[in-house]
Amino acid sequence: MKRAAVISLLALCAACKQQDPAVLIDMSGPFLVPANADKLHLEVVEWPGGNIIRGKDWCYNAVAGCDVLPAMPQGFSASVTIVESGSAHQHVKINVELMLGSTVVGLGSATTDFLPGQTVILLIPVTRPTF
Amino acid sequence: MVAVLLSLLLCAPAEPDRLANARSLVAAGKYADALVDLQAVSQMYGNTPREQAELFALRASALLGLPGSAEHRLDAVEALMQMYHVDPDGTALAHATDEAKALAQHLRTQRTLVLTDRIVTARSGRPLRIRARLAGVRIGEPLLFLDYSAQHGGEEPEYVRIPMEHLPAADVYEAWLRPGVGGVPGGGEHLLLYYIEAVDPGGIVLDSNGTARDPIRLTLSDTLPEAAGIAALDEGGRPAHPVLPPPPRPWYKRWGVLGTVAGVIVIGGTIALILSQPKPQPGQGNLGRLDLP
Repeated sequence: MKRAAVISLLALCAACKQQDPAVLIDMSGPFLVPANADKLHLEVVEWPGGNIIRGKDWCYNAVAGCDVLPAMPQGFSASVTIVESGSAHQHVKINVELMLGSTVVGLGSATTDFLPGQTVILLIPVTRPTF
Repeated sequence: MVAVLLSLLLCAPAEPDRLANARSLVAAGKYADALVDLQAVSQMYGNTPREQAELFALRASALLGLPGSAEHRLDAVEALMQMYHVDPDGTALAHATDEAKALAQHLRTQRTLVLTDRIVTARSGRPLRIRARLAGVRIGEPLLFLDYSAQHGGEEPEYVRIPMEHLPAADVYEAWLRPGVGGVPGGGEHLLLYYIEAVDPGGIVLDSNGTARDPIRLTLSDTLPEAAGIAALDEGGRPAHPVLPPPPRPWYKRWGVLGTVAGVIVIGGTIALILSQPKPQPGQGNLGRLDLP
């Protein structure tokens, strides 16, 4: 009986283990892939320090080392989940760039905090740069 | 004069043992003569249950020994049923013919029999338990009823009818008569008449041990059982209901098993609850997961 209770308690505790802190980034903007944009670049930056923690590219055209960016004929709408599985980065900034060839056609940015055991949803609108 | 009277008394012919005589006549194959003797014995007052059982066994033997007729066979069947009512084990068949034994065996497998240890005397003013069991063939799940009457005087008895409770563990039926309840005398000297009837679910009487016209006679007495040294079958000195040992707890009701099952249910329910929580839904273009170092 005692053994069963202990096992039950352990299993219960295991089931209740908190998930890693995460941020679900939901990006959207008036860009047709691949007509208006064919590459997405995303950076996670330590904030306010400014050091790049992680960066990644998605390409419509197959390129070595670049994940696939699917066609989006209705407009750009994509999501990425960033999981803090290594060292803790409490406050970060997310930079998003959309490119057509080598030209930057869309930008988006937002800062957020990782919260223990939670997935924070972050909406980043991607707009044309004004420079 | 006194001497003459004494000599007359001593020389008077003794009452013949007509039961023994009937037994001899049956053994000798003189069935008609045996039936006459058996009829005479049955009308005598004070036959013990053992004598009554032997009477019925010999009567059935004699009837079956007569030239065959349906009426004789029916009477023999009736006699053997009555024998079983008085002598549930059928020990009186030791004096019966082979034909009667065979018919008795046949009845035991083809008819429903209400068997009970007939109570002759019991202490008055105490709860009384009357038990019965069924033997032979069963049609459906019969109901047993106890009809009893404790009226005084020579008036026609009015019976109170109560259902007997079935105890499946021992496969017996029992009913309790409690002093002062349902016409049962609260004490004193009384004659209690009763009989037990088995009824099938459709209401048809399957068998009756005793009848309204010829009931089992039980003497309720304050003194008779002790005075006579008779082991009365009443339960007056015992608790109102027999104390039965609790049945062993089945494995699925043990705490160890129940605890484990409950633990699994709780854990499973918690996991299911966690898994069923709505997750943030990614957008149309799910680009996957990015782990930070």
